[in-house]
Amino acid sequence: MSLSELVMSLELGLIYGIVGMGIYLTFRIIDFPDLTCDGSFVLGAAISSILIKAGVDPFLSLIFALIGGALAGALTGILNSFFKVTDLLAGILVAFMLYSINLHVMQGTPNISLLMSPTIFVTNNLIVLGAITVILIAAFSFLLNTDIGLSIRAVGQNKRLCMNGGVNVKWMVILGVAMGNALIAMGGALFSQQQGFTDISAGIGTIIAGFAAVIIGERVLPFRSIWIKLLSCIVGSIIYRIVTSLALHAEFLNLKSYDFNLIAGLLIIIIMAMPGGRRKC
Amino acid sequence: MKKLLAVVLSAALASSVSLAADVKKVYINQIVEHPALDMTAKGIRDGLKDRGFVEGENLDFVVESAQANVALAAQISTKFVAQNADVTVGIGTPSAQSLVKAAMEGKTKMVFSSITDPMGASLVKSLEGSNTNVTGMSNYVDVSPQLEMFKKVLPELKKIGFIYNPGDANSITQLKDLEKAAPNFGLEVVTQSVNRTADVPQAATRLANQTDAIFIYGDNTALAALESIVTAATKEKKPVFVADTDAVEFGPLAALGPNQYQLGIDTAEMIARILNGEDINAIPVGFPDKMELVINMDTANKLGLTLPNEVIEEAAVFIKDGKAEAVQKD
Repeated sequence: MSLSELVMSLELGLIYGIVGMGIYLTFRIIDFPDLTCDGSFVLGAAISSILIKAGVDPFLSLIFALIGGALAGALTGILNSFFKVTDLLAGILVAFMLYSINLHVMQGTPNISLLMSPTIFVTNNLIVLGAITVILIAAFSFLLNTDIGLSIRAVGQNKRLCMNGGVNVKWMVILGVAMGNALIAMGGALFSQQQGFTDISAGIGTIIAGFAAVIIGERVLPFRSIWIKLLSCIVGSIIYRIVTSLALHAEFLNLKSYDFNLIAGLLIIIIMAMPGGRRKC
Repeated sequence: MKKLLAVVLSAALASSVSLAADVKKVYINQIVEHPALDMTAKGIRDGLKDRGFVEGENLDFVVESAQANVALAAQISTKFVAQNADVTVGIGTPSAQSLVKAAMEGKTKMVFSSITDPMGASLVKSLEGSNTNVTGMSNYVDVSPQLEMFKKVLPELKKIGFIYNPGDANSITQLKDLEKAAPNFGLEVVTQSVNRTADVPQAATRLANQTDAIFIYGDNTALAALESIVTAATKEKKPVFVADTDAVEFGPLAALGPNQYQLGIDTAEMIARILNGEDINAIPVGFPDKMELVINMDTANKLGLTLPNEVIEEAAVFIKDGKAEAVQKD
């Protein structure tokens, strides 16, 4: 593996690490298996790129992507809390509807090129991405340690106890899923700016990349404090990207190009099966 | 064990020695496995062979599929650039876009293939040599001759149904063309969008009821469910037209379009010129230069259609009893 591939793995690792943080929030913290992500990832990318095309500052476009993702997540939460749609189905439904919404956001064109447009990436992508990641980890570990943040975390641990303790469980779930999808949409926006294009199909595989980040991260950094938990998603995501880069070099095993999903999946299983189990929290 | 190691090492050494001879690297990044795209890749491989670039001798030829995963396409592109490919080939818009950046930075030369609107995808700044180390073959063909053919086959044709996936960049370009050209032939276009192959049977049934014929341009989703479109249309005794000539044998009545395999051969010619030292920035974007008419006689019989002689005479390939027969022309 060459230096440029390592750099690309780090960049993609940081971007999908932010997605991983979003999935960690829903999947681990509020115990909500959320499948909105394939749609909200593209929503973030679509919002950001269409705003950049309209002349909006690329940094500002990230904020709008964040808000868009939060709204999508809130919708999933509302369907679950108030319309009694099961958590899995609520996410699938919203992601399903987002396909059409994303095409609307992209004004009917399934592929928007940003190659000739300004983006937040000028010289060194890694420094920009690193800085954004640090800010997001700081912001979200702060949010999760406020009173509301602690309520959200408590809801994930024990819903019934929270209800008896006077916590509004429904709204905490909505807030948690909204925060998670805000991060995922942010990841999508960063991805489109780093790659130089948004394609309506860019969401395919988001859930696997995000889960891999969370699960590998938990194996390598098994600590309880919340900021390390968020950081571990980033580390896990970078490891996942380096592993997939290595898998692309497995052609000496006489594998076909379409064997990639299989190799990447097996490598993740091997990492998960390695000795030294996850510390119980 | 030592012996085995020695064998492996010497084999590795031998292969690296043969690589050191003038071996050109042509690496293809294909967005997804799909019959038309696979045909193009095959055309490129065969075309390079015909031009003296033989795998295992003086050519290192690699095809990698991103399996519809855009992030993976980016990783494949980075790998190809790091391996110092002489020419990278992007098949499918996202794959080509992920290769373009490296080409613009002068790190590699990129030839795209089978892309309908290279300007719209920002792959090139102009169709006449772009100065960005990028050129390639578009699969764009004018829709007017096709509509003319439909009118010849079915003189009373008024309403034409069009099935497409709004998530397919190529299809959007094609729809705009169709809606522009249709009034010139007194045709009304009835569109039906589908998001996935599972939506196709319903869409086809609706269109078969409302229109005189169904037309599928190059849409990947519709072509993947072609059989269900043909079934729905045949029930209503309506013909299906396609633009992909390779698809006619699966039941549509006829196609007037470029041959995807030929598109690969044409792409190979461009690649060979670049490998032989020609300046990539001086090579303009290519378009398919000829269209081929393929007619499925089995389908014509099933629909009870008698085709006019002038259409029969133009055909390059007939499908009879499930077999393709090329017309020998002198």
